Amino acid sequence: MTACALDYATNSDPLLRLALQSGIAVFAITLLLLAAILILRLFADHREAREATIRDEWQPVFLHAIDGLAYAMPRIHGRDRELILLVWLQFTEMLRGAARERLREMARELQLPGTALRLLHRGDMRGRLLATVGLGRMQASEAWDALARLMTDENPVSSLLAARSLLQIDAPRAAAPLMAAIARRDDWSRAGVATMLGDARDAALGPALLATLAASNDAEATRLLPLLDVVPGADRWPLLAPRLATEAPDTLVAALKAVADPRALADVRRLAGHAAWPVRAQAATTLARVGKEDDLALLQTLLADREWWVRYRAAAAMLRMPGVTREWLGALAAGATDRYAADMLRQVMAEAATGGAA
Amino acid sequence: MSGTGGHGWLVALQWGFLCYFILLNGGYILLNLLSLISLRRHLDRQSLDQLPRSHTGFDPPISLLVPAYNEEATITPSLKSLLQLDYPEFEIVVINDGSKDGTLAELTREFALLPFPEAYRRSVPCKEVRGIHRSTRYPNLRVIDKENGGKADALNAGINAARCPLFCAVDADSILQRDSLRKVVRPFVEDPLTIVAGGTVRIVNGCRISGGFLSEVGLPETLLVRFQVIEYLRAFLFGRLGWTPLNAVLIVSGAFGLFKTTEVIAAGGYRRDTVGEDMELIVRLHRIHRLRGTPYRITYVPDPICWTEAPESLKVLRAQRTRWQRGLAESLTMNRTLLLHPRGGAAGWLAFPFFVLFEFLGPVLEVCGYALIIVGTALGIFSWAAFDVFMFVALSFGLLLSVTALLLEEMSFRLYRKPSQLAQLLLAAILENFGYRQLVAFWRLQGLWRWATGSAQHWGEMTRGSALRNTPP
Repeated sequence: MTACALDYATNSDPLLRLALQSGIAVFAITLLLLAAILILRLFADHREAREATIRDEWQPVFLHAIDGLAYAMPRIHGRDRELILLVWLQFTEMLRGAARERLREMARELQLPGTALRLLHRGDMRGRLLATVGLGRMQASEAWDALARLMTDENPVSSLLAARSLLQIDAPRAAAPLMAAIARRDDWSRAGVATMLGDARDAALGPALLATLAASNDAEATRLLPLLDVVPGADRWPLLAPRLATEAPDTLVAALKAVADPRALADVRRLAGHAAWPVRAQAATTLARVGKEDDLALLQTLLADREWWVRYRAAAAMLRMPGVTREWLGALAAGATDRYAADMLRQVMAEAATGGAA
Repeated sequence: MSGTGGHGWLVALQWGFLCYFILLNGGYILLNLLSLISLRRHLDRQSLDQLPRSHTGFDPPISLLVPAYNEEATITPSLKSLLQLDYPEFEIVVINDGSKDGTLAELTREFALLPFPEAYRRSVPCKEVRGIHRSTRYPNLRVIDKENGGKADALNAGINAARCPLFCAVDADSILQRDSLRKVVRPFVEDPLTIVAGGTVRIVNGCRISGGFLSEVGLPETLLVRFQVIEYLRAFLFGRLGWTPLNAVLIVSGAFGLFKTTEVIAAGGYRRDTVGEDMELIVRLHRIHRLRGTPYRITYVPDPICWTEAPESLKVLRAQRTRWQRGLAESLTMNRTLLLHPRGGAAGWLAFPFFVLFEFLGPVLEVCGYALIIVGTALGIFSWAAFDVFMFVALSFGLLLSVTALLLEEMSFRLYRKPSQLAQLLLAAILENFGYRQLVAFWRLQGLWRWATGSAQHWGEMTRGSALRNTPP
């Protein structure tokens, strides 16, 4: 490239022309984007107006259906079916019992399962998510295979929603594959899984959880153990015992959280001396649940732990131990030679007095 | 200028500017495309957000850390609105950072504080804590009274007192949406690898506030603040959203961000020797995790969930921008080992070089470019035609980026609903290119100069306007 080519002195300079042309191109794109903004605004306004109309038309119909009253169906345009599905879901998610059942019947009458299935197969992501949730709420067994495939999808959001829908459609059938998936998937939201199982409250879940837990490795067990509190009716002790002997701190913490059986006491006492502080802190909390008066001495040693959280949990546990009074703890704090232990005892007692704790 | 012989250096310089210009705008346009993908993904999820949701009972508890320095006038309404946040379990830790006014007395009176015998834990460094107080009216409200040490020091003191697995750093003068915590916690709930989630900050000037919450979105009266509205749209809608899918977000606003407490403690907390402590922490977390090869995610929530007051005077705005630029320079240089590190990933190989080239050096090249063309034209080295073309191209690209941000806003949240608001924003997007952007570039250059010369940086006193006060209906 010669210097002349970059000479900005004349209008005949090719670089200048190139710059001008790119400027014009960028400016033209900007104008196009401005037009796009205006068009988007018009479309959005139109869509909102249409949505408002549909809501106005359908809300009374859904309300009648919920109350078990007769209703006249408004005429349905194909393009509105997705929005009607959304409005239907908004009502359904708020309801329980017979009212929800009546809306489910109405969905069948409106052929919403077919709409949802079409969306599931051909819709965009937004439509697919809506369809996944809707099919579960409609208990559309015809969607079982599609949802089972979706449960193995790598997208954690859609796969977890598919799992939830399968559970809603047929919990006993879903239980075993669902528990296997929960054990395997470390990308599923733990809160989402717990909420899903808590909502389902199906008797088939307990045995499935125990069976999966029995065959799980440490990492899988860490994901499954917290569910013991959510799934009712599971006898946890036979499965917890081996988990309390593992080396993995995360698994130990999960197992200690699930312990409610005095048979675990020896293990809990042993784990109060574990090298990992989260395990010691959890052991202190668990001691408050299953420990005896003799464990106060062990908790007192934990009050001198180098980790703040262990001291805090130990002090909080002492307060909950049988036979312990605030006066006794106060005297213990006053006589403590370890300043950290005394400070922690005073804090926990003050928290208990003011009604707040971590 | 003849362009032959004697002006070879000028030619090289022009080529340099041209290449830089192409890279800069190409980079931003790429970021825009990435933002579109992220935004689309986010909006897909929003169809489900329209469904009623009850508290799951499994949302992790959050410690809200509110540093306060001389906030006597605003701290009570701020806290009262924070106490009304819609979230199942959270605590508020106010850190009175050695205020010289009556902040502590105001807090004691309004929230019935009593001294609390807390076994204060010092996980990260901070100045001496004088006392800890607890509200007898709100069991989830505590106040740490400490020696003055700056915002980073105050946040560290708050981290030491935080009891929850997540903490949220909130500016005392910010207005949060009632569902802010619910939205910003979602990445943590959905992805166990998440260690930080940043929230989108918007400008509150011109909005209506009622009961401590935003009740109606409006536009500020002055053009200066409207320019900042456009800047915030650009900064958040593609400046941060674009980096999210690459896990390379380098900035989380100090006004609102949610952090995994143990991760920040393990990283050493906020550094107290920088004015950009919020950005520095994020870059450091990237550096630590990338270099160790531990999986993590730093993400960003595009929903507008935090509203902050923008400076209404040139003096305050200048102080803010020079501080931001200095903070950026410090954050990058303090973590320079991340730059092009073999294990740096997208953060070290894309975001960091991008920030060095375009955010750190940008003001230098921008101001030099403008100076060169103006002086060159005045001296007759460049023709007026060249001057016109240069300005036209620069302004066209500037306008393109602003309009793209507006397009993203229109595609997503559509907060400015009235056609007149849209028109005002478009006008501001055009007008900011005539003087405002150049002025900001100059201030940023000043910030770099202060960083390079090591001159003392003082926190700019933010003159509170009327934006945060309740507005009558």
